Amino acid sequence: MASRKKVLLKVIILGDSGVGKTSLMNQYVAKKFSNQYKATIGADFLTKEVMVDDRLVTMQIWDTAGQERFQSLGVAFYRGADGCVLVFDVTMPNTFRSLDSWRDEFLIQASPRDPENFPFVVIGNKIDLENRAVSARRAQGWCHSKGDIPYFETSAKEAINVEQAFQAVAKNAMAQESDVELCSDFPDPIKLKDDQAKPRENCAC
Amino acid sequence: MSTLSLDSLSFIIADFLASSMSEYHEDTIHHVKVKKGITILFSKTLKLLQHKHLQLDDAEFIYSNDASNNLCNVLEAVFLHGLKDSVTQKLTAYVGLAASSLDTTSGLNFWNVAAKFTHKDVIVQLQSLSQITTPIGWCRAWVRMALNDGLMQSYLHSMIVDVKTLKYFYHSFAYLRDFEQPGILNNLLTGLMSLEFKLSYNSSVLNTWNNGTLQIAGQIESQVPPSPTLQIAGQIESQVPPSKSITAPNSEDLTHTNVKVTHIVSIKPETISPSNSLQSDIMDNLQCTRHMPSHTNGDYYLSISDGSTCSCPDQGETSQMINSRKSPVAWLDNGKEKSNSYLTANLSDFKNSKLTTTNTSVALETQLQFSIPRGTQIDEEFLKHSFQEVSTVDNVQERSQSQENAETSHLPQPPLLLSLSHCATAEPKPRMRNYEEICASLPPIKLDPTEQEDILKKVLQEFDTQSGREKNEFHLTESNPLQAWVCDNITTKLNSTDFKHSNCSQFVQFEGSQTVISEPINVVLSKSLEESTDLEQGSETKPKQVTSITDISNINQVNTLSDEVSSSGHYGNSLTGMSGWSSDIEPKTNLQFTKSTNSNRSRGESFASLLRRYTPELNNKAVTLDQVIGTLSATDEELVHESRSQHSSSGSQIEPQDLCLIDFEVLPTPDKNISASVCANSSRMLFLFQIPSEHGLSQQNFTCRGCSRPIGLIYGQPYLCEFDGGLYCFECHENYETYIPSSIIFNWDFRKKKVCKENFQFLQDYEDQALYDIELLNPKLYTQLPELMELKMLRQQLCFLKSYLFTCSHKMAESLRQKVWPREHLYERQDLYSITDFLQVQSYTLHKLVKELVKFASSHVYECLLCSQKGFVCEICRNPKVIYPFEVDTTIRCKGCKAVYHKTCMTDSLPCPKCERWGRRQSKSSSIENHPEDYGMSPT
Repeated sequence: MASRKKVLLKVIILGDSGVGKTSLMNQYVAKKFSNQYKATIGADFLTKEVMVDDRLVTMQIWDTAGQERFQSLGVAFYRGADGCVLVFDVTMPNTFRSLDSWRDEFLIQASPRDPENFPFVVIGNKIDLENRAVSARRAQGWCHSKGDIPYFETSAKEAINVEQAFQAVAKNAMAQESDVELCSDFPDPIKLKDDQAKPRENCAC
Repeated sequence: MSTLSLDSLSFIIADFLASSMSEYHEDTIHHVKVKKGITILFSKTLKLLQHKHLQLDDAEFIYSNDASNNLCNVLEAVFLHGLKDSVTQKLTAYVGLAASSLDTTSGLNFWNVAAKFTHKDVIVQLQSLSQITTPIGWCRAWVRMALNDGLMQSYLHSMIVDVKTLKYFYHSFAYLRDFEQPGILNNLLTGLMSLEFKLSYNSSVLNTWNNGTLQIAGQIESQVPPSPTLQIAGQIESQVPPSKSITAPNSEDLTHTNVKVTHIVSIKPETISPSNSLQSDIMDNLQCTRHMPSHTNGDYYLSISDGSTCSCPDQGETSQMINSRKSPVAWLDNGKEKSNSYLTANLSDFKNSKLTTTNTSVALETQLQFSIPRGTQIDEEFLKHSFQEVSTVDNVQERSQSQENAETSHLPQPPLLLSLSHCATAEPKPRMRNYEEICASLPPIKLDPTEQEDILKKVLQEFDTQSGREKNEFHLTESNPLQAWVCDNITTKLNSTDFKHSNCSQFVQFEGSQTVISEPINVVLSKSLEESTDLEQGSETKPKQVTSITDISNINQVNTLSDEVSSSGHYGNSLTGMSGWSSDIEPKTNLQFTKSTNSNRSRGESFASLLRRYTPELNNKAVTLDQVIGTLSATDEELVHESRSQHSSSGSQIEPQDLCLIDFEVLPTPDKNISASVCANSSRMLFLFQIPSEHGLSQQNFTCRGCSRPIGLIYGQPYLCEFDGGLYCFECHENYETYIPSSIIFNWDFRKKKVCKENFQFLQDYEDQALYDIELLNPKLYTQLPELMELKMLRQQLCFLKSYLFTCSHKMAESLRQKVWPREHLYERQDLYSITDFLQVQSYTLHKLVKELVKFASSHVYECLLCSQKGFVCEICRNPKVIYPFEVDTTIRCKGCKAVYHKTCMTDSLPCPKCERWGRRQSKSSSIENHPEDYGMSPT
């Protein structure tokens, strides 16, 4: 409602190394897929313009390195993220198990306004492979326990569901964004509700 | 005395006011610094001398040695500082009669001053010295003579008193006209009374200034610590060995070049112009062309500065050192690339500056001479061009210049062509010979019965598999001895130092079936690996010759061997070529090697690998020389273009010069050197990290350790090699002096000590090798030496910054690499040093370099959209301001999880919150066994 100004959504893709974060991003942004594995160095981002609810939104998608060796670089870019995509490999249970820690770590580092309702999306990637090891139910269960995180099963290789998953992130992020916009469009919003003030305190420390 | 200083003070003030204030004002601080430096240095050297001498018998004389020469240097600097150009010099220089009288051609000297205060008999005596031919020589001899006669103090006193004369000869800022310093010096000189000198002064070395003096006097930028080491005159002559170490097939052209090099330097004293600034220019020039030759762009010669200045403080000597140290050809060859651009810079400098034409021409000549051996058409044309630009005024000069020019274009060609033919015939052989030598001289294998043995076995396996895959028979036969050799090297290495087992992994990492050297510690090992990986690449053994040939601007074969290996891993990630950081990603492909033996090689390596990146297809190219020549034209063009060199040799035709250059690439000389050192390396490496103990002649069976000829008793005096503690005969030990790594590491002792010939070569070769990990060898140095601690912090910053730049754009990574090159160890590991580095620690040159790098890198990180986002947020205070690990002053990094916190927030008692989180998660899901390092920032 408020302004039709350009919106930038910052989305972070997280997950263990080799689950297909970069592939997902490339599939989504460039519609390309390569079978060759190339570890991501540090972090990088791509941008893509998408339409969300009739609004043109620029998505800034941050692809991160899943490898521990890159932890000597900080993750300050988590800050200000509008959405987060958690990726695991449906053929590798380990990668699913570490989703918990990815999520926790993200919430700690990004310290969003409302951690409980932060727009996450979980992606189970590589469903084109046969040796599946994490059932959809199990993943759904986990997502449910974390506050009904939307869950998508994708294949970056076959371009299955990739678009939908990212669209969901963008949509959810926009929903949050517009909440914020309500306040930020006016110079000094008068806080009427308690629950809006509380999370603010959290982040102002 | 007080009236005196008042007097001089008033003079100074008068002068000061008279002269243009602004000009002096800028320099004043600098001069004060220099003057204070001189006094301090003098008191230091004097104390050193006294201390040394008091231990000896009173009757003992002080002969020419490091300490006394150093004293002379300082004294010379005293007399040089603030010296005015004499009127006659100016005049003759202006009229262009520089060559007319001896007095004026010699450049900066205080002979006139000295002569004024010296008895005419003494002057006559000095001028009749057979070896001393220049006023500089007289000056230097005069200083020594004055010391011998115990007259220095009285000379100085009478000079200080004679304010008028001083005013005539010296600027107001001169040391001798300072109102404080000469008094101090005079007092200090009193201390000389107790010492008796017997310095040698009839030596041709004295005919030119040495770097040390000029640096102390502030005449040239100090790149090096005013080195406490000067060679005795006599020794220097003995150091001339006309490239004995250089191999046979090229001996002709080498000696040719030798001659030329020495020729150049011998010309120098005459060509040095009277102007101080110009002289320093030339000096710089000398140094630059000598040391930073092979850089592609001109802006960071300081960074490579420089091993050899340190090791050869004397100008006259340096040229000879070059000859004996490296193959001059390689050096000259090396020089080509850089000096081209350097010349441009310089020439334009000259053009801009308002120097008199004579000066300019003199300077140009000097430069020209340096360009001679490079011998490419382009150079000469380029020079010609610039000549025309510069010499606008004087016709006579122009003519002489063009003569000069003509000379240069003719001079280099005969020897070069000669060597070309050599190249054609000898080219395929040298490596083989090298291997044979290695085999022949293999020391017995000894394995340690410890865990280290496992590693060695692995190495063996590596090489077994490699040799299994080997197709080339000639290599096949050699791989076994190589194994042995490698193993032996490792063993000695591990034995020699008390490295813990865990440290072994720092030397060698084994992953899969590939050998990865991640840390540039064991050069010998890595070198062997280079060679053996090369074996492994069966079909690629030849292409290296291709590359070496096409690689116009650089170097010798060995470099290319190593790049061959390192560059062969260039697929996948474009950044995998980078070391350390990203090398982990695809360890298979990234064989990160240490820089190779001497500076030539290391420079070549990096440069060539850079080139390789531009032209990766070279890897699989032709095999034979003919094919090489066939492909040459195309690759030439490409390379030339890509390497941003100023050569414009057109593709279709093979220039003779190019071919000449080619031949430089494949010189077997460096290989020979290596092989020579390889033989004894296993035992020698040990002494790099360990102070030797002397066992005496009986231990050695009264034979020379080098050649086993009998020594001692009637067979002649044995000579002690301070490097390995062995005793040598007069032929194996010619009193060469060099820095001893172990004394630097353990005693921070930078005195040059006498070593035997073989070890001298060895040490020279390894001077630029980053072999010494202070943290492992002698961590106490950090606590004892604040400058080293400071450097450690700087390098730590650089290491942190490296990870940012190397994960940013390829361009950034490359630019950092280029800036640091050829000393990548600076950012690889903060504790790793080469001897050259150590020498530069003292002079803070390294500090300066690293500081610049840190500044460059950090400013990028702050500005870069991507890098700036990769900072940290302090988890304790939650301050949204992003912090970075390289902000070492304000932040601290957890060793475990590498999270960064404010120093003020993170106390020792406080556990790292991130580590705690990890621990909790770990214990929660203990059932899951996976490798924590394989999984991201949050292992389950």
